[in-house]
Amino acid sequence: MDMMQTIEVVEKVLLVIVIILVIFDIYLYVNDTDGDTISNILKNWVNDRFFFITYLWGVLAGHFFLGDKDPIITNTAWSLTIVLFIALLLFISGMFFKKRIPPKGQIILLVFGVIIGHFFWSLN
Amino acid sequence: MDFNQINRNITDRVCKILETKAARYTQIVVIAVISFLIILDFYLFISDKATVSETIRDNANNQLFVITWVWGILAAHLFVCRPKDSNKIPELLGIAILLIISVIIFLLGKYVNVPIPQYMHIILLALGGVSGYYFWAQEIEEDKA
Repeated sequence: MDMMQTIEVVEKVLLVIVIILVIFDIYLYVNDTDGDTISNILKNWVNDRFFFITYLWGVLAGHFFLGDKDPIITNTAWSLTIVLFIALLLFISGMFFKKRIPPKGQIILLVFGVIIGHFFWSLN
Repeated sequence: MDFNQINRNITDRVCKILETKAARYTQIVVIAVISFLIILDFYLFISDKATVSETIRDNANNQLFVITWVWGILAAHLFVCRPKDSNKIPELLGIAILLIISVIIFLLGKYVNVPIPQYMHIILLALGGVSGYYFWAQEIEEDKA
């Protein structure tokens, strides 16, 4: 399969996944159980100890939508290593925190993630 | 604390977080989807085909920059919570407003025929985040710990 065909297949796969997730989430919202939607569980994860997820969301934004034309790291393996190493540090920190981090902390994690994604994991 | 103690602490914490009963099924679905995407991207990368990242990047940089805007909304909606009862806008109304704006941005993408500059993506992310925070935020109780 050539490049254009692969992109079209990947686009369709992603679109199908998004549609399924949206329908699933609507079902979870209207069903009898409270607090089981995708938003709810991500909120619980991230406000408990898994705030590395917030950071990764920022990294993906920097990676997909931004991306320095002259990035600090050009080798994908190294980019991923750095991104994941920071995620690991955040995961371990989360295990030792006693209090929940404030919403401002989540915002900082998002911005930090975007910066990392833009400078260290650029597609350009 | 010796290593075994630390290991047990982490395992206990992770198990406690994953055990919220109401959401067990949802958690499995989310983890399954993310794992699938990672494996798919890995396969595409190794076979030197267009990866998921490149597909999203190409679309967002051409006409579908609405994706960037939506990513910003979701960042605020999923991860940045507001204090309880601070949001006066009913949820469905907030979602409707965001949907209308998204459709407008989507149509703008079809109308604009040149790739938008990179700083516009930063603006879209930021605006999406702010809009998500004011129109569709989740709420969380005061931390009593």
